[in-house]
Amino acid sequence: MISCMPKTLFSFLFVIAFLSSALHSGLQAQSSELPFTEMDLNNLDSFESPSANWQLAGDVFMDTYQDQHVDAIDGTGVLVNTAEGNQPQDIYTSLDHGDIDLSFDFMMARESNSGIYLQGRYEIQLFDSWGINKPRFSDLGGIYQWWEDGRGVGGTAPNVNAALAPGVWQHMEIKFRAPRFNEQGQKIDNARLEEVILNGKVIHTDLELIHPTGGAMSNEEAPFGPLRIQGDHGPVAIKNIRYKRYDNAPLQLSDISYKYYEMALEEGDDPASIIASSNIKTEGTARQLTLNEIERTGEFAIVYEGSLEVPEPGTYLFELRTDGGNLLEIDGNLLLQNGADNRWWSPHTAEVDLLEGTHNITLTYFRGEDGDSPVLSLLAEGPGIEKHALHMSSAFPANIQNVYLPKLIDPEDKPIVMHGFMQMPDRVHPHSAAVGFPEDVHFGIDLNNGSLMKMWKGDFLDVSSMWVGRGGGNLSLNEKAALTFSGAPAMAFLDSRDTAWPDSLQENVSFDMHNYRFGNENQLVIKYQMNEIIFEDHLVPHNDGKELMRTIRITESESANNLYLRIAEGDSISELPNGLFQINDKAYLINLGENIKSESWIRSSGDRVELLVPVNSTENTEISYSFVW
Amino acid sequence: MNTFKNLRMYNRITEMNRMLFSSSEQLFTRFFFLLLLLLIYSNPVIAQQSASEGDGVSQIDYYQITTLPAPDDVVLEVGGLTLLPNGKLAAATRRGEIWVISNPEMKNGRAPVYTKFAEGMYENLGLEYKNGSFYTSQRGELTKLTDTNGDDVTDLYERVYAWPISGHYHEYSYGPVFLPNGDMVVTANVAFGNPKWWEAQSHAPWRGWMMIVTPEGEMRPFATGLRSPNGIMVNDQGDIFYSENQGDWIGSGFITHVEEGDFTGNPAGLKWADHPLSPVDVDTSEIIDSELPMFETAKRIPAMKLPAVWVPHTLMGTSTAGMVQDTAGVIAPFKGHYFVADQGHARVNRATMEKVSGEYQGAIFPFIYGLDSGALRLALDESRGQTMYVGLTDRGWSSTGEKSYGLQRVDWTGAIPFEMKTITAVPDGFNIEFTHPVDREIAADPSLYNLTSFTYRYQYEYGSPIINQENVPVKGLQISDDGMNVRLVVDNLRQYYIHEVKLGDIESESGTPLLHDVGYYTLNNIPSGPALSESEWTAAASGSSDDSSVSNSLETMEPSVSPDNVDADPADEISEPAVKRQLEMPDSWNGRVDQTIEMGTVPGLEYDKDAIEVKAGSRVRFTFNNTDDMLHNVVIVKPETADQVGEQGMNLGLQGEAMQYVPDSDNVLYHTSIVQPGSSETIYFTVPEEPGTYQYVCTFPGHYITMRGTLVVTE
Repeated sequence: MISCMPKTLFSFLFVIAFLSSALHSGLQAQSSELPFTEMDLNNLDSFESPSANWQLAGDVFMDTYQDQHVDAIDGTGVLVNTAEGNQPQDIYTSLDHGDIDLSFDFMMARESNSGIYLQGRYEIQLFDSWGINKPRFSDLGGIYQWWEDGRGVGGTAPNVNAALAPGVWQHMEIKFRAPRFNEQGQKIDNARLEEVILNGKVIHTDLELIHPTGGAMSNEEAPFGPLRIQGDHGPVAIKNIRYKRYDNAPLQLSDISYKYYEMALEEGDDPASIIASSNIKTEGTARQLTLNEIERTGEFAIVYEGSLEVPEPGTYLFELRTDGGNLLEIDGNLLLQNGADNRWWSPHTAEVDLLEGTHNITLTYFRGEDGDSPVLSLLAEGPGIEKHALHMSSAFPANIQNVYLPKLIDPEDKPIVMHGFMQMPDRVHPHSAAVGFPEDVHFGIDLNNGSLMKMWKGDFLDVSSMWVGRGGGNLSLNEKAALTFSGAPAMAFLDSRDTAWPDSLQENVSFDMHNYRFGNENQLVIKYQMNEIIFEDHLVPHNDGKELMRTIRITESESANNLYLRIAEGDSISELPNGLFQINDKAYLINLGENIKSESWIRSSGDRVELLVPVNSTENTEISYSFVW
Repeated sequence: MNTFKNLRMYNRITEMNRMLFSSSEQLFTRFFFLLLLLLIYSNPVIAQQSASEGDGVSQIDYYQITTLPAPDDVVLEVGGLTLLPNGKLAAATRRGEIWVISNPEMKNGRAPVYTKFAEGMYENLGLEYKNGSFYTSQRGELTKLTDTNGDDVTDLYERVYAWPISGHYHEYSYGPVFLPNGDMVVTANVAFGNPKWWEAQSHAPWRGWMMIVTPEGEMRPFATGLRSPNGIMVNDQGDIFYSENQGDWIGSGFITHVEEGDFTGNPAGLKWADHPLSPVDVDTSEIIDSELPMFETAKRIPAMKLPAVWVPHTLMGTSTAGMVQDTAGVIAPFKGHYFVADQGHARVNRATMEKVSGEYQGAIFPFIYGLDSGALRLALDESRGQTMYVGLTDRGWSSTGEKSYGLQRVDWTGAIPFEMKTITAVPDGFNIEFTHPVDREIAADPSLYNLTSFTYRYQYEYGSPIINQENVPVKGLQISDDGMNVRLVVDNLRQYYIHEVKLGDIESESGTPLLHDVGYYTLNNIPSGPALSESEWTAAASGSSDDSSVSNSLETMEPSVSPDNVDADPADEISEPAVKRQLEMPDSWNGRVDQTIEMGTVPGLEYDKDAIEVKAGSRVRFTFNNTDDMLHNVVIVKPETADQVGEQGMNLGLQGEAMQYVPDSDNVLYHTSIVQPGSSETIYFTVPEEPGTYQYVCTFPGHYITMRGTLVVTE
């Protein structure tokens, strides 16, 4: 007799699988939103009479170690403020915006200072805050202050310091909602920042902007205003400006009627025909989509019909989640269809072009024996219409998604080596460790091949999926805020300099970790053996924790003259004028130790690029490099 | 919890008693307190500490259980436990930490002191200490930890051996345990797969295997067939044992002696049987799902090793965990015996083994109950004696017990309980050795010995019901001259079967009742040799075994409603004033229901409603949704009888399953059957006319302590 069975698929496999992959890495099976509009940066037509300090470039180089340094490279696609001239000024878009979702990439010069103003009035600070411990409103991502009675008030610091190094591209996403006014023109609701995400970390949530910030183009608030970027305090570069404006009201479902059936579905049944041949148990009208009409247990099907008033022709997106099967039809066209084994955590989206006017929508939800409580979520997005719910919250309670509380651990006075499984794009690496330093720079390493797989800063790990309940989850970190490198072996024996890098340990290679210990000044020393070569891998924060230095030292060896270390691989790698190497279009930089710089070289491998260095495998050989990010 | 409250009260009253007994003038007071003590002892809540106790003895007379207090940030989900040469206690935890605990014996009323020795490992499930280093299994490797600079913190983490794992959450790794030659034994849990989510699968080499690892890091695969091999033990003969947990192909938990090349039951690990390093000569195709007992397959497959001691599911626990042998006699009467922890039922059992035809087999007896949480690891304090430490964690599964983890100390008072010390097999029955000489007159009554035998299916499906159950009639018995042994002569001995030996009210020579009355002996081999001649044993009274005064599973304790006649006409049921489990709305209600109630569960063995209000005499449609992952029922009982009914449900023994664990009692008003996880059951009942605070409770063994609520009946 079964008396102690582990939980059903829903309860724990969800926690492990969903949390580890979907929640943190943002993997989506299908696109779940309408596309953004991209601002054209092939010319300056989108801007109002830009001053001379603003120009277009194809690329830009800012020296991480030189104050205010900027070098624009010919071309278009990047908007650069060189901050040159006597009177460098801000730049304004011709576009005026109200509610808007905005995302862009930007690069700060060392010690530089800029800002982006929503509606020309509310400034989010752009600043070189690399390595700052406790950020202030004046640091990167802060909401700037304004002045009352001669003193600064109202600034809001970002939740965390998410700043990266000057000279690398950073990324910001903003969800801004304009102030609301009544018919008399009086403000009835403040402007709001629903969310600001900087380099993958949430720095503001649900923030009221009660007053224009210092230096606003006007202290009178308005329903619309231009985007504005500060130009008078130092170099900044911007590209990939994308936005979605929301000027239209949300869609509403009206004239809802329902038919509720008690029926049994066998595997392989066609739901539509079973429903057609079943008896209606109850029917009627409903004011909202609440699921109140259904009984909570047993098998059933319910068919809702309603009207949708579409204000503007265009492409509309619908996202449906149900615990159980579903069918979504608009004007008789089947948009979505899922079987009884569909579970609520899988969203399904469909896009459809709709003309202005009234449309008929039919939503069928049916359930078999399996699964959890019946729930339904129907979201819609349209041109100028923000993604919103067509259902009432009782149909999809918020607490169904709150399945766990994160359990954060952070190294305080000494490093933590946390063994666990690390999820990489190719597979899970089960013999990995996440290493956290008190200086707030962390990395993930595969102990079975020495590969440095990820690097991140700030919060170290959420161990709840490992420590709560039955455990077994992966090492959980904010994947959106992490650099992901390669899971392939760090070192390999290559027959020639053109031999392809192996994806996994080569056949004639045995690789094992022997031990690890904590050396002087809290550095981590891992001892490995690769065939006959024994080496130590020293990892330590560098430059006040802004950088991470890796030193590989051979301690025992029979010399092999075809051993190589792959320092980096990516879409693009090149040497910068200051001697550092940029990886993936300045996503991060590598500083090679002097003794290996001359030996290293960049090579192409298919559509990938690699930075390699030969390892002179005699004893006491030392190879050092650091990550600048 | 009630037992704790009563324990404190008992301690306080004993103190007062000691003070008062000093003066004979206090005779009246002495009598009064004695009465109070008797009242406490007769409280069914204290009596619950043992499945069935005679009047006047209970667990606390012999064993004191103390919880070691720990600060909030010391989370002792104990996966490994060992005593250190310097007297401290070391615990490895599921959170990857090793804590060293000073003053575990809480001398002078001072709390233990906890020092974190190591951290950052992934789910440690074992711990040993040798020559200045700790050895521990974490999910992916066997790690050796050493403090090189004497600051009581690990400086060097060495990987002894890393075994392949796939990253599946269920791939736990247990151990190590040292062999006499210095090698280490580790075991590897299987993963789960398809089509059933609980189907054991081996995703990487040696999952589902026992491995031997040398201190230098050489690994050799040793045996397979392991599913959830939570406990590992090496006994004083250097023989290796492991404990298994119920699942697919594993009808109930058990303890098996493992030798190189053995196949112990679950076929998942056979995936690697033809690997060059594998010593196991069994092919997956040889494993056939026949629903016959395991021993039928073992007859065909020489490499298959049958369990030495089965741990009957629900009767003796649900999840067999760590084991230790008391070679030093820390609990003196049980020197040489094996203590076996149970993770599901927060208890520790005791096993004894012998070799018959060269193979281990033996019996399992209850030892202690009522721990704070699932018992996982045991450590006997050999230097101080009389103390056993128990490391607790429910590992994320619900265990009986209030807490999710902890550390407790079991102190033996030194008084020897009256118990079945061993059961051994003889050619014509069994020999029971007692811890004290028996009262010869009482013990001579064969009707006080009730034996039943049964077994389990060896099948793909998860677990197994009890099958092939038959009575084992006691023809007669012989008491040894010293009164320490009772030899039973029985009929219907069946080789391979698990024999339940259940005793009635036998007392020791000095009038002490038994502390525990049951043991389960696994009879893999019947010893050869002469049977006792008839002159040597006393025959049973005429009328034979059916006269037994001890209940067994063949005697019908009428179930209120048999689960098989779900659709039966209520009028056909056994004559009772009202049907307790009404599945269809009674016709007499004419479709009118006054109140519909729906109730589910929340994690941690609780219903999702702890109180429900109904009107007296009203008609209720009651639906129980079992949203948990364990079996549950709902039993509606008279006021203040939940403990009693719950305890009765726990004591139904072998027949409990067929009765849905609902005792036949007037206190039971209405009930559902046992409802499978993810299923529901709806019953209809009429609320009693008499207002009051009734109760509802789950009577699946062990659940009644937390899984209950009040049914408030208003006018």
